[in-house]
Formats: sequence, structure tokens, C-alpha cells
Amino acid sequence: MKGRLAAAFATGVSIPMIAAMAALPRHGSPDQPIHTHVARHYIEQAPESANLVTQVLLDYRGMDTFGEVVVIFAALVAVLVLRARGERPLPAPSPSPIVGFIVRLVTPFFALFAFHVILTGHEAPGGGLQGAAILGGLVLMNGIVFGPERARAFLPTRALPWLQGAGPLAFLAAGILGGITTGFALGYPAHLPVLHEAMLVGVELGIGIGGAVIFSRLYLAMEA
Amino acid sequence: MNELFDLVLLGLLVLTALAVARSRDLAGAAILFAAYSLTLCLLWQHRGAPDVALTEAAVGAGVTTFLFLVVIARTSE
Repeated sequence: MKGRLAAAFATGVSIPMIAAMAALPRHGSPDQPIHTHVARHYIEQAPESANLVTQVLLDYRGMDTFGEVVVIFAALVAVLVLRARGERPLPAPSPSPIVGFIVRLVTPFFALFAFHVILTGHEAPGGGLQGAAILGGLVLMNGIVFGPERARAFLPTRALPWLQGAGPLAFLAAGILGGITTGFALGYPAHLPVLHEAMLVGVELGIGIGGAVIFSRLYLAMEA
Repeated sequence: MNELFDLVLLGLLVLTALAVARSRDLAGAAILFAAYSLTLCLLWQHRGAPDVALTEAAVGAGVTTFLFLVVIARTSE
């Protein structure tokens, strides 16, 4: 009975959705609204050789992204508040030699790729959040295979409070710098290319490292 | 050819989704869900959205799977 109800509900929801999708303009057709409205303006106004997606995320809609970074930070704070301390930690697992060897082998390449994704994010696909997920996944993978102590060893203890807020802090710094140089909060100074580049990379690095620390701490909060 | 590749990926997507729903083993379901995310990632990439594809691979197949596995390990002691 319950299963049939669920199936009927799923069918009832998906038929209008499929019908709506069939009514969408053809994929890639040039006269649909997203290609004739603001997108053209973004493409014409963007600096050359830039990744448009990141430009929109960090520049045109920088305030939105700032809010998202704060939300992720708030999620960590909420989990840390909810999660009582002092529970007994799980015994460290004993990984099979093959799994242990492979995880040790890929760890440095994983980290290198994560920083590549973070640092080239403003010009190529990728960016802070993707790099953060890769770095955080690296810490989680080591934690699952070798035990939470190994994951904790990746995090610098003293800089931790600052690092987990790195995303919002980097955004704040970029916002203030932009305010001084362009007169708009979160404005990026096009007339100072070096500073412009440094601000973009700084924000991406802040989101990347801050996000990775937050992912790792969410995991550690569950583990111990 | 392009459309055919999309159709194959969409078919795989539906298959993996059904496999996740039907799986009795929680850890197995988490791994199947990672396969679902990877298929979706290929689909994004093929439809010309590399940024979304990278996010899907890193967050969907990576971090989420690890977090699922940790929760399953913690709750089935």
C-alpha cells in the first residue's frame, strides 16, 4: 500500500516535470532567453581569458557567494555546538596493506590536484569549493583508512580557528580591498591587474582551504 | 552519436538510482550512490558544464560518500 502510494506520487510528480522539460527550448538554440537576456552582457563585459562561471560567482554575484560561504561556515559551527564532546573514540582500523599502500601513494597527487583546481579556478573549470571538496575528501579518505588520528594530523592545531573561517575572512578582506580601490564593496579593480588577480586567487584560496578544514572538522566531529 | 551517448548515460543513471533504492546493504548503497554521482558527472561534462561536473565528482562522489560511510560505521556498531 505504502509502496503503491509512493509510486503513484512519484509518477504524479514526474509527469508534469517531463512535460515541462519537453516544452523547453532546444538545448543550445541561440534564441532562448538565457542567451538573449543578461548572458550577452556578461560575456561582453568579462575580462578576456577568464572563466565566465567563476567571474559570475566571484564578481557579478560576489555577495551571493559571500553568503554561501558564511552558510557553510555556520553549518560547521552548528554541528560543533550540537556534538557533545568526550565520547569514546573508535579504535583505529587496521587497513589491508593494499588499501593502505594505495592511499599513501595517491595522497600527494590528490593534494597537488586540489591546489591546481583552487589556483586555476578563476581561469579554468574548478575553483575554491571544488578544490575544498577534493582536499577535504583526501583528509576523510585518510581518516577512514588509517583512523581519525591520521586525519587530525593533517590539520594545524594552532591555526585551526582562523583556517576554518578562512572563506568568510578572505571574502571580507577582498570586499574591503575592493571598497578602497573601486568604491564598491566586493568590486574588483580592473585598472590594477596584479591586485585584481591577487584578490581572485586569495578568495579562491580562502574558500578552498577554509572549506577543506570545515569538511575535515565535520568528519572529526562525528568520529571522536 | 552525441545524443546516443547522452541516452546511454541517462539509462545508466536510472539503473544506478534503482540499484541504490533496492540495495539491502547500506555501505553498498553508498558506493552505488557514488557511481550514480560519477555517471551524472560524465553527463554534465558531456553537456558542456565542466564546472558543475567537477563539483559533482568532488562533492557528490567524494565527500558525500565518505561522510555516508562514516555515519554507517558509527551507527551500526
